[in-house]
Amino acid sequence: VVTWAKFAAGRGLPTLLASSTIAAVLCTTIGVPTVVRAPIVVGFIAAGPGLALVRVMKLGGLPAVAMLSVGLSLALAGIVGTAQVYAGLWSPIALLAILASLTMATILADPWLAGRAWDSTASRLRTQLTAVLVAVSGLLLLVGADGWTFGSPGSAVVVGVVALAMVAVAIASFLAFVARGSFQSLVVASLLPSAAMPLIAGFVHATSPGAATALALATGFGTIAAVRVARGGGWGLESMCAAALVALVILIARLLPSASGLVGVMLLVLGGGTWLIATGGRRAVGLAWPLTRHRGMTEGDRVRGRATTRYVPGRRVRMAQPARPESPGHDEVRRPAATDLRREIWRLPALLAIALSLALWLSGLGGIDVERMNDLGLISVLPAQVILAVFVLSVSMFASLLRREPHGLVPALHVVALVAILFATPVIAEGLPAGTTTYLHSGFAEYIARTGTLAVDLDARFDWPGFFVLTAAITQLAGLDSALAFASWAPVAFNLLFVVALWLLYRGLGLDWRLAWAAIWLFELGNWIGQDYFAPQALAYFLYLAILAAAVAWFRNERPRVEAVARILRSIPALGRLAARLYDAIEIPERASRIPPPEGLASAILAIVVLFTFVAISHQLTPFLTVMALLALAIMNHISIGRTAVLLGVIATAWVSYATLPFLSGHLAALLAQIGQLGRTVSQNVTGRIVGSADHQLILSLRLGFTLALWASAGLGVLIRMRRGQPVGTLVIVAAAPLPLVAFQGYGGELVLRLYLFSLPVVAVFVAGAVFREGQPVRSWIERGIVVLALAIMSVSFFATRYGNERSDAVTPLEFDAVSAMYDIAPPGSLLVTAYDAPWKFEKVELYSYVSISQEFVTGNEAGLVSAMSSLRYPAAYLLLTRREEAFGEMFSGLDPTAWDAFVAKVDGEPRLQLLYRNDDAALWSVVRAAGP
Amino acid sequence: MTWTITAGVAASTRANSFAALSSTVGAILIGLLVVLLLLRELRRIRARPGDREAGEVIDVLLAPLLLAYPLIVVVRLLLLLQ
Repeated sequence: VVTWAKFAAGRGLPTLLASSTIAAVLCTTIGVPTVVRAPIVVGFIAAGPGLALVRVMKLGGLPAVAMLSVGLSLALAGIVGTAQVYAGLWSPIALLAILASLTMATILADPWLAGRAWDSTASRLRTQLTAVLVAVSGLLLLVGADGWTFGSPGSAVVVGVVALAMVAVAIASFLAFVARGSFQSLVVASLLPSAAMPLIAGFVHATSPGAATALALATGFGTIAAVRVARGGGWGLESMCAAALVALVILIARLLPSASGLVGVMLLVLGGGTWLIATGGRRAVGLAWPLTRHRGMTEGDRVRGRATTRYVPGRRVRMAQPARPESPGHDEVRRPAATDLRREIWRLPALLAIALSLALWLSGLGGIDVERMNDLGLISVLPAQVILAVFVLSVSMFASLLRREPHGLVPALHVVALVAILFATPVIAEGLPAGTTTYLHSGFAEYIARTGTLAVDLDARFDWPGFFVLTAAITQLAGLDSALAFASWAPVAFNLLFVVALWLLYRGLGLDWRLAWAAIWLFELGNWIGQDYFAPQALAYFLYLAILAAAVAWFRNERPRVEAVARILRSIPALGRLAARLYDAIEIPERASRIPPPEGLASAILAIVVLFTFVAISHQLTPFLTVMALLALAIMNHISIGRTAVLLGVIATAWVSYATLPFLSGHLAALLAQIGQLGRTVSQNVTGRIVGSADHQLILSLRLGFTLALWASAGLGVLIRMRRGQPVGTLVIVAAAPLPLVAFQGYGGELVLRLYLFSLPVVAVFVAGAVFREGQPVRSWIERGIVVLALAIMSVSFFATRYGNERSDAVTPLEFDAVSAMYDIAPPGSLLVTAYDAPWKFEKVELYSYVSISQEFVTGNEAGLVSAMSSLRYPAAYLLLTRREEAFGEMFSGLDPTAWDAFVAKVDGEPRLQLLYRNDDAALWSVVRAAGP
Repeated sequence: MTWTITAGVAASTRANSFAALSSTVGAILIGLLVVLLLLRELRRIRARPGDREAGEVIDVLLAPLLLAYPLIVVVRLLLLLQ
């Protein structure tokens, strides 16, 4: 991994990125089988554009690169896709073209983006190629531009304003070019009118916006080329360009399926291939390597016979040939010293422990019988090997953290194995995504993919469509039938992303490596909340962590204490001294992490804004929790980006007050009525949830007890850290920032759960910090014993608390078959009825009316049910009853175990219901309508 | 029914309602506010010669926009409640 990472960070990365970009475009256009296409396309959309951008951001560090690569890639895809949908221009292929062009342009134009001198030959060449690539992508866009229309006057106005703004920026850039000769200004001046042209064409009722775009592109890039030639620009990197052109031209051909177009494409492909062969394979492969890097030699290198790489901006450098080192004899080969061996050999038991725990886990997976689960959930059928696997892994991790020297790889492998065991266990055992909401979210994405619009009248979540649009794009481009193909694995993927963001956050706070890993471990074992399934809040939570990590790691004030504040606090009568002491305690500054250069910081601000924009258009709650955390940190002077926090607040509130009007117009009064209802919120969130069967109540009590114990331990941890003189300030502020929300919102009885999740990263640090001191391993055997005992308890409690609802959450293949059969049978417009909630709505969500009849089910009133289903408003009506609803009724409504069978028997005996389908886990009936007159 | 940009602008102009006005003007003002806030933060971070003076100019523009923004949001919400 380390070797690959070093390779990727240097020569290999641009090549890899360019190859994956071309592969993704080719896979999408030439009909590659889904099994190959899906991983390539999903991989590219999930990491490609972001990785290309991060490469020029100068932020450094593998965790930062990994976090921002995924975050930016997904956010950009989601934002562009959402813009397409709102403008009535939904086109996944155009979205891919935009992302591919952005990636290629960033790879090739990084000297320009990084603000280096444009006079560099390499910079000129790459900018030239960038221009060609952007031109090709513009051609793609213009194909889609013909006949563009707008869904509403509002979207037309917004697009018009954007077009005019682009033209204004272009004029300003051109003036800057005239005044200063800045090449980047010229590029902006030339490109923006091209992009704005289809929009302008819409204004002037041009018959062909596409033709107007083509003209503008030709003018823009002609200008660039002319200036470049006039200033002595050369030609190069042709092969790379040719390869990209071939890929993109094929994409055009797909959009222009005429015979002449195909012939033209074939000629271009043949020409490009000949060009590639003529220029040579070595050149083709090496083209993506930044040309500003030349292999030269320092005097020291010459002595050692080793070449180094360094930047030589702005001029050509004669390549120095490294001196051939003398071949060392056998005896001269450096052998590891004994101390090195001792240092390295400790990894062996840790790696064996990981292998052992994985073997235990795999051996236990086969013994899970989902059908036998009781109201205690997954733990009732979980083989002991799986729990033992977590315990062995935890003890091995703890032993790794007792080492003196840090080694990131071993703890990282432990964490990856832990995430796999904790979150992949139900995925493998059950086979299908758990929870009906996953099916609904998949259905939302299917609706957007099919119609290119938002069903805001159907569900309020369409007012925050970013996640669903992103899912729709990925599903369509990957050639998948439904997001259900990958939705099961969402908890595994999201938790791995959480780990990366948490590592950057903790290290950014200056926490010791042991404490950081221990807190991550606790976070995962304490993550029973289950908000990491296939849902907008899961991705938004990762982006929240990423934004927080970026703010804390790169913009933290080393001296947050403000003397004026301390003075004001001291002046308060009676409480002044205590308040001032508390302020001083909270304001103990943490160690600052490495600060990137100014260009890196500016890039980080832009990245934060992009990440947040996606959060704001994807989820209702997370944007405000993010803003509250950043504002609190800025007000307390712990971070220096107060204006950015305000900016994010403006984005969040602007989205709510403009884009979510369909939701607000019906719910605003109810939302405002919740303000100040603190008691109601608490009872709705805590006491109101403890209902159901005895076993289920036991699980709920366990969850409550675990949460309270964790919070109490965290409180103790705060006191211990303050007593030791260790910093708590930033963490306390982050944990406390969302609390005022309790006074404003109940969030459907889930607010306290969300607050637990948002406090968990901080709580984990304080609990772990009670044992792990900064800079030294745990030495006390008593403390070690307590940790091992706690790990044993948490290994069990995790499966009980996290998967306590699994009996009703799990969806069996037979249940899914029944739902699929229902969609095959039921004509559009039908009424679909079930007892509570079924794994449905994953397709054609708007074409049916869905109703739950829990009241009739609980009271055994099958006659009332049939009457309701006989309404002539619907062409047909169907009743679906599944195994999971029996479980749901028993677990959450406390129904007698015989009630389900009795109700099904009544339904079977009802003459007005006709059985259409039945298997072991589900049955489907239709209402028999009386013959008409 | 579909709309071209021209038709959209024409409809908005014809409507001449407070809602249309607040939507259009509000969207432009918020866009401007977002851009200025971003520019101000970037200039502060990069701290190049001349950026300080430019930052002060931006601050002069930002102040009224920051005051106007909550007003726009509150008025829109009040309209919704009516």
